[in-house]
Amino acid sequence: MQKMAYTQRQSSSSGQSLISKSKPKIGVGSIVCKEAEIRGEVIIGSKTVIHPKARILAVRGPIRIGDGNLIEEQTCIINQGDINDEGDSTVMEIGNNNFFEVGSHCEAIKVGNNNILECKSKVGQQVILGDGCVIGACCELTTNETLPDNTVVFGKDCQRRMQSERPLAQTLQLDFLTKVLPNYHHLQKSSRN
Amino acid sequence: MAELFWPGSVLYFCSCKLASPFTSLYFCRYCVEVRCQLCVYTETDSYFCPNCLENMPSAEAKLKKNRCANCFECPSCGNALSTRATAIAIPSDNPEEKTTAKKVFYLACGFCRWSTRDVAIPDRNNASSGWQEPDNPVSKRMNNLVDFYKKLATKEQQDREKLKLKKKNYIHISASSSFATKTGNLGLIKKRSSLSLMRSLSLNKGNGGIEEEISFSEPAEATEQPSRQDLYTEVVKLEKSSSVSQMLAQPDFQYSQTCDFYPRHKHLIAKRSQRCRQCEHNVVKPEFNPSSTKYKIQFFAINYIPQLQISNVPEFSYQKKSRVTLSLKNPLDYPVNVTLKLARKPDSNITDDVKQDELSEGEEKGTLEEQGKDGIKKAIKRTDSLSEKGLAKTQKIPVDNSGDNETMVDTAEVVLPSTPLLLAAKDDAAEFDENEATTTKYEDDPNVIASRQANKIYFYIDVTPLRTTGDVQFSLLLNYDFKTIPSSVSKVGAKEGQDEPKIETIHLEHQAHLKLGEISQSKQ
Repeated sequence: MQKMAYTQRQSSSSGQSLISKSKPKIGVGSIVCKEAEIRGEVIIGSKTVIHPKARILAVRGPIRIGDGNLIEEQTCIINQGDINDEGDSTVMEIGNNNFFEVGSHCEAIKVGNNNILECKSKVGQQVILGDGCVIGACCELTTNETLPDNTVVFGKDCQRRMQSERPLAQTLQLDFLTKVLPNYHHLQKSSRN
Repeated sequence: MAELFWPGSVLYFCSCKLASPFTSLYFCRYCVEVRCQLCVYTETDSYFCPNCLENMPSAEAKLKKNRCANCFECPSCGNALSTRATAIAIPSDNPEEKTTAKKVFYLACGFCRWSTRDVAIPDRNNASSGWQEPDNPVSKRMNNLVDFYKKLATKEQQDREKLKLKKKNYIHISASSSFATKTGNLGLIKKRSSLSLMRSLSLNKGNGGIEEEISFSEPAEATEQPSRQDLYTEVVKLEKSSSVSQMLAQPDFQYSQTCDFYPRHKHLIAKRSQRCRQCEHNVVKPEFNPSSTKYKIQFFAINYIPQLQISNVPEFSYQKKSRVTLSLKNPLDYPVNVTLKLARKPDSNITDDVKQDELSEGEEKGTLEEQGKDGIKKAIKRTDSLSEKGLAKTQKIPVDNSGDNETMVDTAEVVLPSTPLLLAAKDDAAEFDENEATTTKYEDDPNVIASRQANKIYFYIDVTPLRTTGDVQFSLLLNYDFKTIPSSVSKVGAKEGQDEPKIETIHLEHQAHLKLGEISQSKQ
């Protein structure tokens, strides 16, 4: 809770000049609920589902989200990247078919494809996620490293192991949500381009 | 919640003088004594698999090495594996035909996402079978050794018998068996049979029936260089090598690489019952059914002894009186009068001076020991009186585990309520009762009793810390009358079914030790 308040404060004070009031660009076939909090320059690909009360905050730079991602409620994706000397901000890039479970927190500047961030997991700013990684429930990763492909982090001691195959994409779940969510929630319109 | 019920702040003394948290204590109704974990026997009632909750007889459990036949556990994290079904497309030989889908099964862990596919174990066509554990490479050797030692044991047994026979001055075999049967001399027949044993022994005298000699492996010679030079050069891949706990989970293989992992059968767990060491009655006995969490017998202390808890603690400072709120709860189904007494007089001369500290501690230790002796005497007396009444079976020497206690020193002067505390009977319906009849029944002194809730009261004590640092702690005694139906009487009463069973009142005294918290050092 404290951490959330902190990020909020930071976004309101330092981000004022950086966050443009522009609406997020939403790709074709994406479902983005109105109750989701999206601030700053955010570009969302196609067939991505963003639940209500998810937070995507482009505080220090734009966030680019790929296709077929599933972002569940209370997820927090924040770009807190450094701004270099010339005043250019870092772009946070999230690949395709990633799954952010309830309450996960992601600050990683680069997230590959087919990753799963389980409930209440946290990925710090200095981490680069490869492809097919799984961050287990409640695991916190705040190191400075590039996670190799198909790494699984699990357990209370954040043990690691390699998986032979990457986790499957949540296609069925995405299809289901694309059908169901519009019945119960107001959606943000996808931009025409 | 766990903090509430498993605190180190209130410790009760067992009959063996060991202080334990209230929740880990038992109360033997037959001895009318508190029993701690050291004062009970633990017996295994039954084995069952924690995953499928299937019961297994102990003989079968022993045969299967205490593992479940159907369930598997993850070699990576130890959780139970679940069977997953998936369809794979099999390309047919005829290129014109379509590929056919086939259902296959594999095992996967829901926690760390390990699966049998990770270690390239082929999928199975059948959901329930086919996950054979790999054979232990040393199982043959193990069996050899076990056989060898079994034979050795029998040989030693025979040798001992032989010695016995040699010592005996037995009758020579000239007396035939027919003679023995005719005369009905059974003793002679017996002698003969032992003689035949003798003969059989002498037959395989050479190696004593042990055919094969066990060869022991040569110890390896120590060399300067380790046999594996690659350990120096290769980069360690932590995520591919197994941890110590993973290796110990498979003691017979101890794979160092995660790619060698294999699913193992799930370990069984046991239902256990506790038995009083003194009278050998059960104090705790769970129901047999593995899926049931209920008990057949549950003599937990929490069901029989008034429960003392710390309710509210102010900040303590040296030589300053502060008011602490404690709570007391009656678990019994009749009202109870609890009288509180201090276990020992606090030494008023305690100061910061180290020497005096030591002195006083020494004194206190002395008094403690005396008290311990007193306690033992009392215990003996009580068991005597109980055995007279037929309550206790046999009198045993009381156990004293007080040496295991941490040092328990009174560091405060405490004023306890002088009047007995009246506790209402436990009433299961009390929480549904809207008009609080029980609370208004008692005329409470507002200086002593803070509030009252059904069978629970909150009361004040005054605490004056006598030290400048450390914990505020003290011991007190709870005195109350416990009503019980003596076991022998109850049996008779049940048979006759006419008389009311005689209820006996026993005066009980329990010692409790309270740690109220640290003395704050800010105001001095």
